[in-house]
Amino acid sequence: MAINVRIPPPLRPATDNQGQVAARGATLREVLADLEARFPGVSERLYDDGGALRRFVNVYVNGEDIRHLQGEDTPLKDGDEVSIVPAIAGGQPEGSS
Amino acid sequence: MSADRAPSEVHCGSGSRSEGGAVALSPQCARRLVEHARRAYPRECCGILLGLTGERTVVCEAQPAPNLRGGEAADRYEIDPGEIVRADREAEDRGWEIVGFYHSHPDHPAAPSPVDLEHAWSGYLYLIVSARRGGGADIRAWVFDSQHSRFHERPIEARAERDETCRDLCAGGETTRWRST
Repeated sequence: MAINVRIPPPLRPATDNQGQVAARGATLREVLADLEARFPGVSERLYDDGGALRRFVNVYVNGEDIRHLQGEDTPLKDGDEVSIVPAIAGGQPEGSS
Repeated sequence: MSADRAPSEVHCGSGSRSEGGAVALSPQCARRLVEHARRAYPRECCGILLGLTGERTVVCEAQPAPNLRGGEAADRYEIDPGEIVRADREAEDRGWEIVGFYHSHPDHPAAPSPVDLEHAWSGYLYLIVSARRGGGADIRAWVFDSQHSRFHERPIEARAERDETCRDLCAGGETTRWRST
């Protein structure tokens, strides 16, 4: 089954500059594994050394945060959409305000 | 705009991110950023930039976003990732993409802080609005160079609102130099 994965700009150097990629899998874990199989190097940007999704990487399925679904075990079906979204944050120097 | 150049010769949109180019920002967008920064003052504000990337990065629309960190500290921001997912779809529907993000630095220069550096991603434009107590404001544009772990500043150009479309500008249309407020 084909799942559309939306790739954010910081990750596109690893996906031949493609902003959307069709991947296969019955769960999010399988889809991300398929992404790595097709674009080796993607995983190390998504996962930390312990094999968990990085803290600053958010993953959404059909507009829902996977933390509110079943995480990487979230089941996917044909036509579902996965969005990989980097955490956008920052601020002024400590104690500046 | 440059009439000697067919739009088809120029790549606009996804897959052609030109991190070395200038930034085109309409006075209307610039005003919106400054107004948002002033409303949020003395707290930081943040938002999402929709537009096109080609010979330059054209900001077509700036959308204010809730600051997830606004409740805990005046000097931090984090954009709700759900808002980014929503904006990404909207941008696609309108033939644009998310080109970057903006945030304000109340009473601080419009330059990236160490905290900004710590959270920076390559491939996005970061506009920083400096909002001063007296009402003065300044906008500067930055892109993150992940190889050297540093930000590079990009020039901001004003674009006329009536006779230029985002796509024309992305394809190399003329702009005038931006003057900060």
